[in-house]
Amino acid sequence: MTATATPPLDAGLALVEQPDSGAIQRLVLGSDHDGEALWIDAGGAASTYRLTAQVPNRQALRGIRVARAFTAHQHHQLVRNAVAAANERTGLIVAPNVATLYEAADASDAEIDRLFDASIGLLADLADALDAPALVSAPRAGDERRATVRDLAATEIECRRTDLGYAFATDEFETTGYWQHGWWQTTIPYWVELCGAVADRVALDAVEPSTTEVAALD
Amino acid sequence: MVVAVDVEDDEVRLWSRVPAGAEPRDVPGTTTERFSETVVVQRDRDYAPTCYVAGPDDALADLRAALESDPKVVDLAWDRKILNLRDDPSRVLAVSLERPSEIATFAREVRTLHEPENWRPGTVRLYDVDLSPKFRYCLERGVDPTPEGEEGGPHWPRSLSLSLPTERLAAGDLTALTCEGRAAPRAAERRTGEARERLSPDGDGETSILRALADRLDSVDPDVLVLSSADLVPLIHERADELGVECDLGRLPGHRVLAGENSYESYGRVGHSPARYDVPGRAIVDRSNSFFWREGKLPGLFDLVDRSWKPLQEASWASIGTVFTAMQIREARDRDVVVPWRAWEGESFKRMGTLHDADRGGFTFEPDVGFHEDVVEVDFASLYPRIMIENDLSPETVQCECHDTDDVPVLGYSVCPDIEEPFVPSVLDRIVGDRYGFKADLRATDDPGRAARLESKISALKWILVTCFGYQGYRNSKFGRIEVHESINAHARELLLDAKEYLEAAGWRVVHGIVDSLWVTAAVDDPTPIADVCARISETKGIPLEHESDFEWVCFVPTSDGERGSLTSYFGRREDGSFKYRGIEARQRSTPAFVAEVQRDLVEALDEHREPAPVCDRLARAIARVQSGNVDPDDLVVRTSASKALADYDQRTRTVAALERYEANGVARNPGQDVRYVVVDDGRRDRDRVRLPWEDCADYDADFYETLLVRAAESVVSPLGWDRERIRRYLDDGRNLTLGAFR
Repeated sequence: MTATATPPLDAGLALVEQPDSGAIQRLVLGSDHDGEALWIDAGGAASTYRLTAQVPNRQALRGIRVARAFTAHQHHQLVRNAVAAANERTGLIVAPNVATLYEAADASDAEIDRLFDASIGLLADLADALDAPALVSAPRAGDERRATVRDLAATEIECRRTDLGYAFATDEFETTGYWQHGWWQTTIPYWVELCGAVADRVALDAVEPSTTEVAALD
Repeated sequence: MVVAVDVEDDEVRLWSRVPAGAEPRDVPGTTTERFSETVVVQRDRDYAPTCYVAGPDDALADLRAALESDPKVVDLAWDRKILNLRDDPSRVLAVSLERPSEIATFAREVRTLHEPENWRPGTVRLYDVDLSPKFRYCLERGVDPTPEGEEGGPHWPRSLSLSLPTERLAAGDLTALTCEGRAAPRAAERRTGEARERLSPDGDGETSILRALADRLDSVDPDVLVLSSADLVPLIHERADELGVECDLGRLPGHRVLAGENSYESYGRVGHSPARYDVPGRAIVDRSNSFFWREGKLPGLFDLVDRSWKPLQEASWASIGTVFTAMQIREARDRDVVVPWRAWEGESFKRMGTLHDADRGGFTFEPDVGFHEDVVEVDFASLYPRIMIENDLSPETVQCECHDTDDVPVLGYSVCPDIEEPFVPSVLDRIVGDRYGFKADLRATDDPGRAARLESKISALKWILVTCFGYQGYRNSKFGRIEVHESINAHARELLLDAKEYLEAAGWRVVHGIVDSLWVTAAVDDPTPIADVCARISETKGIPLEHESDFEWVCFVPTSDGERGSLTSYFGRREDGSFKYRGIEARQRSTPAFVAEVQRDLVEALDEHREPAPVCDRLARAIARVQSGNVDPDDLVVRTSASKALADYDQRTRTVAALERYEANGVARNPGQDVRYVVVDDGRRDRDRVRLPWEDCADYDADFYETLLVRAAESVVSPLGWDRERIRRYLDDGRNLTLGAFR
């Protein structure tokens, strides 16, 4: 049995210091949150082609609901919609590239700063109210916005990309085993553990299936 | 009748061309003055534009109280408007501003002063804020800015075209200014050689040029100025002032800067919009900054004005999306729907798996690389708009809350059946129908002038139909919705897959398919005639599948790594003898004319011999020509565009070399603008690597152009299995040169 390579996620806002969007996907797929995840997407982080390449079948994606924002105003509205959509079954909130759309917005700084502060504040409040983790990342964001996120974050998860895969570190955790390119074999038992069972035995036998093969298993 | 609309803070002026002595259409609140026998101006000094604010009652009451003392605000009233296509009317605060220029200030103040005082961000929402000023006036006052006279007849707007080469404009040299008037019929002008005349035959000095221009403006009295660049406006006015010549481009003195130039990025492409100017009484069309001028000329533009009510000048610099949005805004106003300022409406939460299914691009069926004989191309005409029309796909119908039906293939979204005239389909239905009508008129007419006007309109509308689908998913779209975009895609994929099945069952084999087109060859000796198959599919699916072309042969080109078929690169010869090129160098904008011409010649060689060797013989002859130094450098100009400012490049590319030369010549080149050059020494890394088209380019770099020729040849012979190395080997072995090359 392999060691779990992603850290346990605590309730509250968690800032993921990540080299790319693959890391946050890995954290979500590796987490053992209960219930449903709400994913507020920005900057194309939810690319399902990458996600499906990381899971043996679509069952694993079943618990994730996603909505994409393409402007700062849409992002703020989605955060509000997430508050409305969340319920007792919601166990995880994900908001990658949380500052990206605000940085790119074509509106006055005063308007956008206010909107951003409100969005990140709502995400922190939502995590507290649900007593669930809210993963956010803010790569390439300006210092001020990063500081705003860091102020509200209960934890920080450091992530590095290594030759062997992603390595994660928090105050209490450090990756000891890696998810590697050929991880299909090593992690299937993990999925069995996580999901209880995998619907199709063929999936277990497939070693490094291509994306199309994964799709074909549906 | 109205052609030009001047919106200034103290008055709005509507300029119309009318039959001699006739009155213009009445516009309430205006006074009419006659400018000349056939030109009248209507002045409106009381115009106060209106925008709307929505939100909770207490927030609106707060805002209303605060605005009572705002000197910008002339009127406050409660009204009811539809804020979202899916909703019933809501109570809104209508705010009228004293001056048109104050709308933006007002909106910003609501966001950054009024709202933050007591309310969280986004509590109040603003509507009808960012409409362009001339368009807004026409919408609010019900003024149709479309000419009324017979198209092309004596009361139709007159235009005058002024041109100055880029480098002369940069040098501020007006002596090369040329002019083309439309006071006389165009064909007659062409015959007498006056089509593009020097303005002043008696002297080339700037004073005589400006005097001649003033005379011409006086005699033609154009309603529309078509300029090679809007920068001519300040240049002509400044120079006239300096030289003491009275020469005004407008019908009243002076000009205004409406917007400075700027570069922008959209979907990874850098664009550039030049400065915009207004002259009183005349509409300006900047040819360097008008997509629709290039595609539809004035007839195409006037047709868009008619549909959108965006006056000519604003329509001419608008993008396709802006014109389409204006058409939707007009429809929205008829339905009491107001236009949101910011794009707040995002996606709704959906399962990751649904997103995966929805987020696929258009249909593609990988081409069978190679040379295929007897190929038939069939296309679904106006596929995406027709899918929207046929299936009632609109922001207010898809995923409605009142139905839980499974209407969109694969995605299972519902489409509300209870909405009488869905919003986007109603706008599109008129365009599709009218364009179809124009095409029928075009087939019926034998008047070349009318035919040219119809072609312009057909071409301009084509672009609206091509982009309306993408616009549903565009981030700043006013009436877009991503679920509509996804639904269109899902329908299109299903439609193409069904069509493929029908065709296969009828004895055809699909050799390539993309988005809305399929290429098929006979799989059996006597397949069902293609016309019958098309008719059957059209009838079953409700979207016409048209028999587009019969090809004697088609070549599908492999990708550059040679591993797959390129989805968009092919060429072939139709049964009628014409050739079709897509995606290959001859169709690419950057390709020098000489290289494009050689590639077309190579395709003809392929047509003649159906083998790679004679094509390469023809290539050898072209290489010999380029190496002899006898190609006209004008035909060797590479055309590209800068993606960033000169200072931001860290690679020493040809574009950088060209930008340095532009700079040295004092010609401003901003990101997104055209950059043209001839390569003279590709081994260098400094600015002597290239020359600009108007510099001496006789000593071009023949080896560089030889490489381009070989690349172009590779596209032609790669479907037959020859790659670049094989071509080189063949060329190096000069003994293989056959007589075919010299025919």
